[in-house]
Amino acid sequence: MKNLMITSCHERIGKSSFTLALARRIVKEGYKVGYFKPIRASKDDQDALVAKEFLKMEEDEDTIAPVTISEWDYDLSKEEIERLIEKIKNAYETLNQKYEVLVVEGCKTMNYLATLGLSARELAKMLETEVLLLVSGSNDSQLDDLALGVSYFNDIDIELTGTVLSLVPLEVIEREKAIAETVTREWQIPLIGVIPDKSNLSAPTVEEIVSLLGAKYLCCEECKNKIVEDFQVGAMELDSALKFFRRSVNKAVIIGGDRPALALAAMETDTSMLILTGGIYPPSTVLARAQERKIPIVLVNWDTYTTVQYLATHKIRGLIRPDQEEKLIEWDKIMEELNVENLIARLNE
Amino acid sequence: MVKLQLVQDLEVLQNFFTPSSVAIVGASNNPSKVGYSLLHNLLKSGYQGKIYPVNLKHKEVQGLKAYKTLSEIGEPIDLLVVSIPSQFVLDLIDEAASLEIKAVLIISAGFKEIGAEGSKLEQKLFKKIRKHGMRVVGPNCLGLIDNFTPMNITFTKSNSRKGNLGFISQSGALITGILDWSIKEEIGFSKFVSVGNKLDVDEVELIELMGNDRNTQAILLYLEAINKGRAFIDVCRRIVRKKPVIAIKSGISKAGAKAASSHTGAMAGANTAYETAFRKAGVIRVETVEDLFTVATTFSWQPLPKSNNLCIITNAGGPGILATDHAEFNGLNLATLTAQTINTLKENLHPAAATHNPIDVLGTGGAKEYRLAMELAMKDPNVGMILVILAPQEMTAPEEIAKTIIEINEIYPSKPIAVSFFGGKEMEKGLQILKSHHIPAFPFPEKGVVALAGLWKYQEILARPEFYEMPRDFPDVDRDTVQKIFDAVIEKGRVTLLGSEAIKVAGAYGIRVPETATAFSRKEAIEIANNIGYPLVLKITSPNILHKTDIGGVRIGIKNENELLDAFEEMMRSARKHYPHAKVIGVDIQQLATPSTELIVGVSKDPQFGHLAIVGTGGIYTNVYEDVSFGLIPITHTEATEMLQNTKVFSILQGARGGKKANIPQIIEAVERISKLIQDFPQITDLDINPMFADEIGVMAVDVKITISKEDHFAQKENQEEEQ
Repeated sequence: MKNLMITSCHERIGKSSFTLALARRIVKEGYKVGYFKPIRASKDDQDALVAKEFLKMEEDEDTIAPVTISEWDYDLSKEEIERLIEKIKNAYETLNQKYEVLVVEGCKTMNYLATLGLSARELAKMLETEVLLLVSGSNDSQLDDLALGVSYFNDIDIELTGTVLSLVPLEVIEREKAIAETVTREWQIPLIGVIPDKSNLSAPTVEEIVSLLGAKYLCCEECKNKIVEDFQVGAMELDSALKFFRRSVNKAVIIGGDRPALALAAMETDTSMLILTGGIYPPSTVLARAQERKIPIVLVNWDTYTTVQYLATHKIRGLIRPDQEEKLIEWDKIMEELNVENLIARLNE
Repeated sequence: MVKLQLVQDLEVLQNFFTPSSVAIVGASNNPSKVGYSLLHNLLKSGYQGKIYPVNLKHKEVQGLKAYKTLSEIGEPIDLLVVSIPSQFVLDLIDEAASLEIKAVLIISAGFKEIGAEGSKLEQKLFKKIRKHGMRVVGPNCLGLIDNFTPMNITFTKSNSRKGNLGFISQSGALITGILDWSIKEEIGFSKFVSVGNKLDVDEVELIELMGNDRNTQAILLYLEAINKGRAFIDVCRRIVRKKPVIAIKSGISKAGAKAASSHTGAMAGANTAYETAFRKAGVIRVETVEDLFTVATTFSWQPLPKSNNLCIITNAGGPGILATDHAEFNGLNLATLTAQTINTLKENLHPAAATHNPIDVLGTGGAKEYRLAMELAMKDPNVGMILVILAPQEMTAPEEIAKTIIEINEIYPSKPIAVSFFGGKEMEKGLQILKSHHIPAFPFPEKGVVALAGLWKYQEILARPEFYEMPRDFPDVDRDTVQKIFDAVIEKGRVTLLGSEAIKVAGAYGIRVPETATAFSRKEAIEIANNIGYPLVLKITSPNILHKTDIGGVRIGIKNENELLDAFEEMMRSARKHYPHAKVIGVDIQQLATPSTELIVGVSKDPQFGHLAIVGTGGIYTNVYEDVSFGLIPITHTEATEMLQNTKVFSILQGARGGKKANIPQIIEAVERISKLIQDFPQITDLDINPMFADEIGVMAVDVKITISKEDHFAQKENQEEEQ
């Protein structure tokens, strides 16, 4: 069976989660599946560790993700690059012998490191993998990227094995699918499927946010695996608070520590966590209520504005993790809708 | 089975007030301990049942044999009183369960009022008492009193007088203060309960209990937050037909709400929600603690009035005018006296006396003049209630006039009377005499008005038609369509409806809506526009953009294709600029409705009382005019009618200043239909129809916004499946 590289035209369109979900789906078909990330852009990249846990791989992180090349490494010499390639090849060989099929995750976008001759297409050629291209389907014009992707790979004689549209708004999913079907038929690329834009597919957990913010738990740390699909800032008059908070589910509410009434209002609605700012402890009664409702309250020393800014610039996307039942079920549902059998058949050709 | 459970529960509750035996765990010999006061007060109250103090260290407590453990007592225990540190309470409950104790009064603090840890402990306690089938008052409370048993298990210093008022308080300290004050004011109680954290037994069950208690004539409530709002309304509606329920709610101002939320950990709740809920429940609301008692004692002393027409009899102008002002503030009318009354007054009083209401007998007026005026007012069919004011003047003889008032009250017992002896030291004795003859009497006239207004409010409550009215049913509504829309919205991971979806929901419940469709491209927009026909309204469609108008997301009066395409483009550009991250799906194209009077019909779910509906002046300045009135769902025809009548826009709808009269029955029906929608789909947390155009033909819901709750949606579906 051939191995499959998954790459995308853009970052942050759910590639890592999709890769893991796909691997899990292939496992279900009875294959021994491994994960490989030839290059990562930072040592902090958790993908390899999560995949290792997910697929119960025994190899160490250095084998699963052997090479790190960041945006500040574009001055690598030819020799250095050769050495890195050697490292990639060795690790790949180790894994290839052990697993029936490898899902190989590209780093960032399809053309990341093209300057160094190390972008997804060069790696695919070198490792002789099939290629699946993930394209955003958030609106009609995003499909233009698919055209670009097709020619980028065709340029070095690689034909895409398939494409998947992600982040498609549910309201227009049928329409988007129809347009994509027409286009892919014309370009002769199998459309493996469409992934809807559901925030619970890529939502981070309370714990992921806590570690990003360096926040401190005031209560309910045991609920740290709750997912956070949205953020709201509690800065309104109390009268309109409930109405506002109700418009969002599974959310983190960022609120000044000195506004207990707003905190209580937020807890009346579907809230995953409260982020209290300004380092101000809430009254004990608010903590008691949080305990009743099982809503973690965490404290940061920043003011509300800084906290919001920080979260906005670090657009956090949560991975799927083995212990996140809810998210796994949701992804499993999505994978059922995808034409994975077709994809596997192609890998077996 | 359920009924049997209820009866058993009430029997267990009875154990709190008429136990044959009481065990006090934590009873103490040390006067600085709560456990000392509890036993001390119980002994002092004359309690006739058996008392078992439980104390690990002492063999005897306050002269009684003490037991080391509950088990050691070896006799049945009707009521267990707990006053030990909170961390030991759980084990004690297990022991009590093994002895089949069913009623537990937990005085101990250290539960959810202290924070997350205490809250955990309280949750564990709750699980335990449910498992054992126990009933608990408290924790963190002051205790309870029944003056007919008699029994006082509180740790207050003051005793209380026996009387006919039942008092339920969420504040322990308030009770201490009130008991002390009530002794001075000679106010007596039947039952007195401090509910503390309301882990189990709360005001709902206690109102039921006091409602059925022969010794209680009026029920008084001090509330910080109500947990079971619906049940509260239901029980009050039943009980107020037998006796008045009078309440004071704290934490209603913005600052007060903040204080209350820090204090109790519950949302204080919007003042309007409480106001509406009290009205629906038939609860008389007062503003001050003193008024609570002013109103309550008046009930037990004076009859209910036949009308709210007040006659004021005074010997000075100023206080009379003051009272008149307050009468209006409190919903009372100044009676128009009959010609006969006026003429008789004219013939008999000083020529300078005022013979129209307020009747001024002048400073020279004495007992004779007061008697005449009072007698005439009592006989006058236009007078429903009387307020007598006596200001200190040269001729004033307070005691003599007090006696006259008492006589008149005895001769004419069916018309209520209240008195203000305006003053201090000189008036003290007169006031005393009046009060001892069950005539509400106060130093200042405003209080007299409050007392009488309370009687009238209760009379009104008893006469309310909607108490006996069911909400109208509308068999033509299309439940399936709404269900499908909500299912799809949840499936798509949203809780807010798109404009076009919300319009369909309103349409499915029989509210007229303009034809609306969503276009995802310019081509589709043109096709839809041609189908609906110009002129049109264009609205941006996005689950993320709430206030469309503010960002140029609404265009009204598009006349042709060119204008349509221009507006389309402009709208998209503006949306990208203002909300770069918003999902913009397309545009809603809507038939242009003929503008007319703009109304708002809305619903918002209150955490305590459920769905609160509003109707009033709509349009973009709704928040500026604040011309809305409120009602709690389900809303009957009478309530919907009253809601509309209570708005200012009502007179415009009736054709003020020569305008066209709107189709008012259709507006009222729209409110009732929305009520039906909410009853069928309680997962709707917020709904706004704004504007809803109202003209002589009917109504049209031009813009509809709906938010639903995911959790409630699944609950509703489950309920529905069970029904089927």
